Amino acid sequence: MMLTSAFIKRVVETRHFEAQARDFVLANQKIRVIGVPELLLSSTEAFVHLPVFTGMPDLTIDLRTDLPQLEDISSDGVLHLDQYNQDMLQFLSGDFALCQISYPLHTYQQCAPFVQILRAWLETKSVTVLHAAAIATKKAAALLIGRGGSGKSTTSLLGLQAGLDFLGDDYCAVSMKPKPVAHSLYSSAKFHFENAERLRFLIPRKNPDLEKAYVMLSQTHASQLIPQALIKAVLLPTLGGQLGFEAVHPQTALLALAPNSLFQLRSSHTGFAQMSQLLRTVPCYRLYLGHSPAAIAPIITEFLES
Amino acid sequence: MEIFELNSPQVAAEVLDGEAMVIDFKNGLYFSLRGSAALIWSLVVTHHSVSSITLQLEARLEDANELIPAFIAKLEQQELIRVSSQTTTEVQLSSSNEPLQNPELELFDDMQALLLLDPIHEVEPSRGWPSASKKV
Repeated sequence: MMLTSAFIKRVVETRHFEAQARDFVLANQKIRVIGVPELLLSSTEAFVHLPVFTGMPDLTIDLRTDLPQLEDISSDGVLHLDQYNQDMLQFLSGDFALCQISYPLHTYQQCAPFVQILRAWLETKSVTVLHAAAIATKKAAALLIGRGGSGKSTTSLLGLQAGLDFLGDDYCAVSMKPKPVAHSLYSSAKFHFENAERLRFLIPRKNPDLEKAYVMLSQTHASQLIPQALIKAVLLPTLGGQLGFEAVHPQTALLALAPNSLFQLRSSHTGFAQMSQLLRTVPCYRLYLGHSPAAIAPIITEFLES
Repeated sequence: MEIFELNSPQVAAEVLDGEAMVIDFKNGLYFSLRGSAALIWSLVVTHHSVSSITLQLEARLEDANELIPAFIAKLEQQELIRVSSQTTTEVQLSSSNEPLQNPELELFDDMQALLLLDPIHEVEPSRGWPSASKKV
């Protein structure tokens, strides 16, 4: 059952009179977020690198500090996406999402806002949200996958430092038709404080709650943030070894990609099948990171340009 | 003649270049199927009976009579497949003579703790799902 238009109309009628909209195009979809200014600004900062659009949105996300008529939206069939964070309840039905956020937002909400809504809704458009990083040259992108701590974020940020284009350090979206394309979701990036010296070109925001520092790259590297790029390869960064690439079986890549993406993002069978399709289509390599961080970006650049 | 089917929707599988990955969405376990396991899996979920699969592969797999029923029993034990009421698919003898390696089922449970976290009381409030609270 979808939210009825009458219910959506009632929800719209309860909007705060100061509510504003922020529009952006993500994975070729027009997204509109509506909320009061302070909530809107904070929750959409990670999207400011994306192009804007005119006209009607494909998806509307309505932000509230208090939800109207909760009993209506908890009825059967309405997707209740994020029961895991009491401070960010999310409901999605059709092309309308209602999202309750407590203000001020936590850092993870600022860095990856509405990730559950986007994952679930984009899946209906054959776009899969992945736990992956992506960097690119003007020619093509590499999707970086692996478990936390495998080197995805650091590799993508070293690429950024070396002048590569950047699509994401933690989450990306992928579409397969007509060709495999990586889409940027967020302009945020996180990294461990222990890597701060290596990534000193970034000025992290202070956040004592997190193990990781975070930055909004739109403020410092706007020209390198691109909305999408063709995927040339899937790379599994691996600490140590001799810097270089080694072809891996797609099953190895699926094992590195799917569990995190599926269980963290509560993805579905559809998402699993789309990940498999990606790895069937695009060659997969282990990228041994070696012992010289400065050499990593050049070898990726050379690989993508070849 | 026992016939099985995928334990859907709880379980999903993808076969890639002769290997398979099977995910149990309910309990957070996932499996890598190697050797002849992916081939056997493909036959099982397309309603080939245990005896039919054994017959099809016995020329290519040493100890097929023991290994194949035991492997399929493991799949059932892990609730990746369930008994089906479908009629059996016709036996198609393999045109390949290439020897097969023993079926291997590797289980991964590293996502299980994440999936089974109490979403209200065991999640780190400042970091959100799926970060476990340090108290857990």
